Parts: sequence; C-alpha cells; structure tokens
Amino acid sequence: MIELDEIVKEFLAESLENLDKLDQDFVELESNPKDAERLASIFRVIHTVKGTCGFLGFSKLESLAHAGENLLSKLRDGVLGLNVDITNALLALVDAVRAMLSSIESTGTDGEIEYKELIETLNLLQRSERPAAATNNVKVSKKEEKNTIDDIKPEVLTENHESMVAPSSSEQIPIVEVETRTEHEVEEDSKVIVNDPAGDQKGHGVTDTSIRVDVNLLDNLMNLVGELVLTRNQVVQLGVKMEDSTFNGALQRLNLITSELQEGVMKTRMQPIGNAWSKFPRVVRDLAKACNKQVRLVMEGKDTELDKSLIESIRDPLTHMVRNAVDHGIESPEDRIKFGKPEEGTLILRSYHQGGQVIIDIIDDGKGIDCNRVIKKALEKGLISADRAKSMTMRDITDLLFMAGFSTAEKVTNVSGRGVGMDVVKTNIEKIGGTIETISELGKGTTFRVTIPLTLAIVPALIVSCSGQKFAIPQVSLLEVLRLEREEISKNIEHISGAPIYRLRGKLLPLVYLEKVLERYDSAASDFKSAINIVVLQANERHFGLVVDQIEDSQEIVVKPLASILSALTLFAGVTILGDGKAALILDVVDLGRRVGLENKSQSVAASEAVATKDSDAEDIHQMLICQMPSGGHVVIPLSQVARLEKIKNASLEKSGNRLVVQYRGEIMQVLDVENILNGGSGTFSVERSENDKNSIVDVVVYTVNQHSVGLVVHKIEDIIESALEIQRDISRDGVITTAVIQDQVMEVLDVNKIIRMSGQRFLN
Amino acid sequence: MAATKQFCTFYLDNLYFGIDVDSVQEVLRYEEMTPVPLACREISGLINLRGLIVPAIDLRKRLGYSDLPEGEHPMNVVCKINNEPVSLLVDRIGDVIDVEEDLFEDAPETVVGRAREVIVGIYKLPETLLLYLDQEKVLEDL
Repeated sequence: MIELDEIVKEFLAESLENLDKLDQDFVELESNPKDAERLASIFRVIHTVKGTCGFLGFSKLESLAHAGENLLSKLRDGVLGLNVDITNALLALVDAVRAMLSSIESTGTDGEIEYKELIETLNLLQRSERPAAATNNVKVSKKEEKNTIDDIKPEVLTENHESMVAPSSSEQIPIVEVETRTEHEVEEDSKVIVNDPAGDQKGHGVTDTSIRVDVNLLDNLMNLVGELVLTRNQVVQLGVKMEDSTFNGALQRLNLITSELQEGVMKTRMQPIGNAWSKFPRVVRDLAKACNKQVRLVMEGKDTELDKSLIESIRDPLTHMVRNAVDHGIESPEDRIKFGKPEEGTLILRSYHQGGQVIIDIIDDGKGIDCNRVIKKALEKGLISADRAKSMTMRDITDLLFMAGFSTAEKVTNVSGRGVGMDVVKTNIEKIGGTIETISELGKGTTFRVTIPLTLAIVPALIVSCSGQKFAIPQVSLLEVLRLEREEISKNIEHISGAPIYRLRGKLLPLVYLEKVLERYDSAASDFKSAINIVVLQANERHFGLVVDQIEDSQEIVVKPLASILSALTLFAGVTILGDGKAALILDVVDLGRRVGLENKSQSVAASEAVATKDSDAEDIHQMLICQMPSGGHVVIPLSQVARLEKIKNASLEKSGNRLVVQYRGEIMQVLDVENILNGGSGTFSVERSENDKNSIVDVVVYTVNQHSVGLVVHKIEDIIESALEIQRDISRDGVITTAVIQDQVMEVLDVNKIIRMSGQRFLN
Repeated sequence: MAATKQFCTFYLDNLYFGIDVDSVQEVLRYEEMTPVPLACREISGLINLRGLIVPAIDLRKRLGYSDLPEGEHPMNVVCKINNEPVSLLVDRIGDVIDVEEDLFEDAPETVVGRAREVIVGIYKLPETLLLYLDQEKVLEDL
C-alpha cells in the first residue's frame, strides 16, 4: 500500500462515495429522463472528479471525466435526450472512473489504461444525436468554453460567478434566445458552481454539523465503552453488598450515564442499510438486461440503521441473493404473461427493526421454489437418499438450497447456477449471528428473510453454570427456560435410541447435556442434583434444549474474540468478562445445535443412529441385552438397536434360496445367524442344526432399519442390564464395537448395523 | 565490548530460562483463571488482564514436567506471541539480565525431549546455563 497524501485520500473517499450514488441516479434517470435535478447532480459529481484530479495531476482520469462531462452537460441542457446507448456509456464511464480511483488507491497513479475507446464513444455520442440546428452549435461551443473556465478557476468563479457567467452568456448566445435561455443558464450554472466543494453554500449546513471520523477511532471508543459497561457491572455488584445509600445513588447515575453513553457510541457506528443497497439498482438493471427480463426494484426501509461492520458483512450475501432472485426467481416476460402476471417482475427489498434485530426481506414475485425439482436435483447430485426424499418437509427442502454444490438452474450462466453461493451466503450470515429463512409459494414467488443482530459488540446474554463454571448464551437464540425437579426428571425425559428427549407442550424437544458436550460429565455428581434447568434454544429455526446446572443471571456482555490458539474450538463464539471480573466463555448456539445432530438431518437415518449409539456407548449408562451364543460365549447388543425380542420355533424357519426366512407379522423376514457372521460366514442359519429338533425354540432379536426387519438368531437371551461400558481399546473383530467387562465377564458389544452389512444385505442403504 | 542481549528470566523446575525482553509485556502474580473445556491440556485457562482476555499456557505441561506441588501457584509472564498476548505460567520470576552474545551455543545433541523443541539455544553464564526460549515454538502444535 502506498502512503497517500491526506488530500488524495479525501478525494478518493469523497469520489467513491459519490460514484456509488451515481449508479443509483443513472438507473432512476432511465425511468425518468427529464429529471433535471438528478442530471444536474450527476453532472456535478463528474465535474468535481474532473476538477480535483486536474488539480492533483491525474491527467488520464481528468481527460476521461472531461469527455463524460461534455456529454452530461448536453443532457443537462436538454440538447440530447437520454437513451440506452448513452446510459450504457455513462455507466461504463462510472466503472472506468472507479477502476482508476482504485488504481490511485493502490499504486498512487491513475493507471496505464487510457480508456481511449470509451472517450471516443462519449465524444461520438455527444455529436451523433445532436440536432443540426445552427443555434445549437453556437451554444455548444459556448458551453465547452465555459466549462474550461469553470475547471481552471473554480475559486475565482465561486467568488463572483454571477458577474463572470452573465457576460459570457450574453456575449455568445444569439439574441433571439437570450430572454429565455440566459436566465435559465445563469440559474443552472450558479447551481453548479455553488455546489462546488470549494464554495459550497448549500452544503455549509452539512459540513458544519458533520465530520469524517476514522472508523478505527470509533472502534476504539466502542471498546472503551465496552470496558466501562463491564466495570459498571462490577461496581453494581459491589453496591449491592455495600448498602450505602449515597454510594448507591451515585451508582445509579453511573449506571444511567453508562447506558446512555453506550447507546450514543453505538449510534455513531450506525448506518442506514441503504448504504449496502446503493449498488442494487445497477446490479438489477444490468442483470435484467443480460437475462432479457424486466425487473422493477422496490426498496423499502432504506433508513433502517445497523452497525457499520454488519453493513459491510451483509453487502456480499445480499448482492448474491438479489442476483439469484433476478436470475432464478423472476421469469422471462413471455412466461410471466403466460402465467397471467404483469410483464415486469417486482423485486422488493424491505428492512425493519424487530425485537432488537434487523430483518431484511428479499421478496420476488417470480416462479417460487419447485419442491419436486429441488428434490430431483438433490437426488441426482446424491445430496440426499431416496428414503430421505420421501419424508422431507418444506423446511428441509428449502434448506437444501443452502447446501454446498446445489443449483437448480438448468444451465450455468455467467450470473449464477454454479451451485456455489447460497451455502456461502448462509455461512456469512451465520458468522455475524444471523439466520436465513425461506418462504416460497410455487408460481407466486419467494421470500428470503435474513435476520441479523443490531450490533455485535454488546449483546444481552443469559449466564448459566455447568460443572462449577459460568457460561454466557446470547439471548438472541434463547426461547425459554425450564426447571425440572428431581422427581420430574425421569418422568419427563425419555430416550429414543439413546437420545434424550423432553416433551414440551406436546412437542418433542431434543436435549443436549452441556456437561457432556464439555466433557465434564460426572455420573456420581449428576445423581445428587435436585433439579435440572433446560434452556430452550433456537438454531437455524430448529429448537433444542440445553441442560445446564443452574441459571445465574442475565447480563449485557461485551463479546471479545477468542485467542487464536483457541480458535479451533468452534463451540465457543467468544469470551466476555462477567461482573465478578472473571472471564467467561460464550457458547455458540449454532455449533451446539450442530452437535445435537440437528444439522445432519439429511444424512441417512442409519448413519445418525450409529452415531447416537456410539456416543451413548462411550459415555452413558446404557441398557444392554446379554445373549448367549450357541457355542456358549456371550455377546452384548445395545438395547437401543433392538426393535423387538421374539421366540421362534425351529419349525417355522423356512428356506428361500440360500437364505433362511420366517413369516413375521405378515411379512417375510430374513433370519441371520450372528455367530456365523462373526466367524466370517454369510449368516445362513444352519438348517441341519434346526432340523435336529423341530420343536425347540430360538431367541431372535428383531432389528428394524428403513422399514425392513431382520431377525438375528442368538441362542438364548439371558438378561437385560444397565451398565456403564468400560471400553477396552482393542477391538477383537469386525462387527464388534468394543469389548467390555460386564458382570465380571468379558463380552463383545455388537454393532448390529455392521453385522447386517457383513451378511451382504443391501437394504441398509 | 561484545554485543549484548537483554533477557527476562524465570525458573521452571530448577531450570533457568530466558525470553526476549522486548516481547514481554508484563509480569504478574498468580491470577485466577477461567478454564476452557475441550481445549488441550497445556492451556490452563483465560486470564482477565484489565479487560484483555489472555490465554495462559502451562509451561510445565508444555515441556512435559510434573505439575507444581499442591498449594503452590505459578506466575504469569505475559508476552506478545505472533502479535497476540499470551501468558506463560512459570514457577518463579528471575531478573532482567544482559547477556553477551558470545556466550551463545546451540543446544547439545544430548538435550532431548520437549525442552529442546522450544529453545533456540543456550547461553553459558558463569554460574549457570540460560535456556533461550523461543516463544513462537511454544505455541506450535497446540
């Protein structure tokens, strides 16, 4: 980075800001070409750029701006009418100027490219459509001359522009036109000059009341206020102990002022969301042209304010979503007419505050999301299984859109359809603590709702404790807090394949034990707990309960980033300092949700079951089935993997091909010999053995997966026990999760899934 | 006069270590720490250093020595490592000393184990040996 002069820096900042406004102005102008006010303002911007870079010695930029200015001045005077060619050329001019400005920013010069072609186009446009009347020719030459006067001596002009302009006009304009034109000209010109930065009279009000401040300075201030808030929290805690009324009076004032100061400083960083939107009219216009679509962009709530850093981080995701809406959402004019919709599609950007958060809706009235097509695509790409596809809800389907590698676009355009993007959009928005929701109706349109916090620096949080340590949970994701007394615990918490579930007003709420997540689980201590607290949280629109020891307090906390050596711990979103001066970790609710497996819903049921069993085996007291094998050895099957236990007569076992089956509940169920499989066989129950005694009874463990049942023949079911598994690391053979010591005997714990797979059964997938 | 280098010194399990004085931000008595669950065992916890949250590395654990006896508390040497403040937990703080560059020598082959991984080399002081700690290496593989 080159060290730039203060004056150049200011020029860059101002020009870039103005150029952003230009994009919007041009598009507005296209719909209302007669808007003289807007034309004049565009002219002023280019004029200022030209003037300043002439002064600073950026000659290439100057000559480009000059060409643009000439064309603009004709438009402004009504000599030329605005048309698509001119708009395109002017937009290209804006891009070129921007490119040069960024080159100045990085290298200190205005670059190597001279944009000769663009200048030529601009000059050509200025000539080509000029009406051939002689009077106009005269006027043009006058204009050009006057412009040069403006440029060379803006200061002089501002001081006495009336006297300078008036004579020049009367000298050169044909007398016939003087009465009408001169007045107009003088007024227009004075406007131009008055708004020149050097002698900005109208702008005086603005410059007097606003100053440019380095963002770092504000960041610093914000940090200090954060510290102050923490110190206040500490002092408030002391005050409670002191019981001194004068002290507490002063404390109350400190409290109040701190809150106001915090609010005030936060406001300095607030910016209207319109800043992030300023490019969209241009984006939508260009894109709609490229796709031969007609799109009207409506922006509502431009003034909704949020933290500057947030504006920066939503700019890209929003741009992506807007592009998507134009490219995928809105149909071509022909299709729209066919569906009885107006030819022109409407894209609405709407933002508003709600409950301490900012909501941004991106609404299009296009074709909506076709669920069947989404599912078809997802199946094609192997993102979901066929079984999964059948049971998907609308929510699950819209979630697919945010998976990496997904796109339903029939063909890849240069705009979108490559299948990267929406997943990035989602990650970026989650990164700043936001969420995306999709509402879509086929044929009517789609709404993406982005919810983001107002600011990241100071957030209200719930302080909970677990294993003697305090943790903070951002209240944004908090729904409610429940307390279960000891006697209610076993009654209300049920387990489904090892996963604890609580019934909350008739709905199932999956539970996560914080102490287990933190690997601080102590079964002895947990037996003595008189009550547990469940914090109901929301992550990605799904709910789950976090079981903690105690709810402590709710506090405003200042989020500080985690040291980089700890950044691998995704469970923590950051650190804060509590009222007692100690550091406390902030839990990342989205990551917690991920640990519950909420995010993995699209994976096959079998896989998540296997994970669940493995998890609970590793660290939980578990119900297990002890079975005796024909050879006399014992094996253990986790009860969570068992659907039913049956006693089946040897006689009812039938042979079908080389498989052995039994009629079970009106279905044909295959029967496998566990011992045979463990010994490397294919699980065919030896018929010879069964024929020895037609009336003897075998114990069969029924296991169900994907609506298929399999019978596992064990010689005898001995017992069901509850025990913590003591895991021995050495795994003796395939199909065995681990070897454990149960009731003083070494037993193998079976992995039923694996065993069935080993038998060559296909239906597991 | 030979070139000298300034070291902030400390003791760890009877060994004498030195760290570049320029990288040391401050030295503190024992501070209560907030443990970080799931983090590696060398990270003892987080210290609130006047609003700045600093992770503390247990140098004894990092170098593979046994823990301090019950009841004894380590001290904090807060230094900037890769531009971030990190506290190194040591047994006892020594003086800040000037050491002649000539006294430097690479660690002999016989010095093995984790201690060798984190030192640049050894300064042969008249009465003792000073192990020159490479603070960036301390954070490696954590």
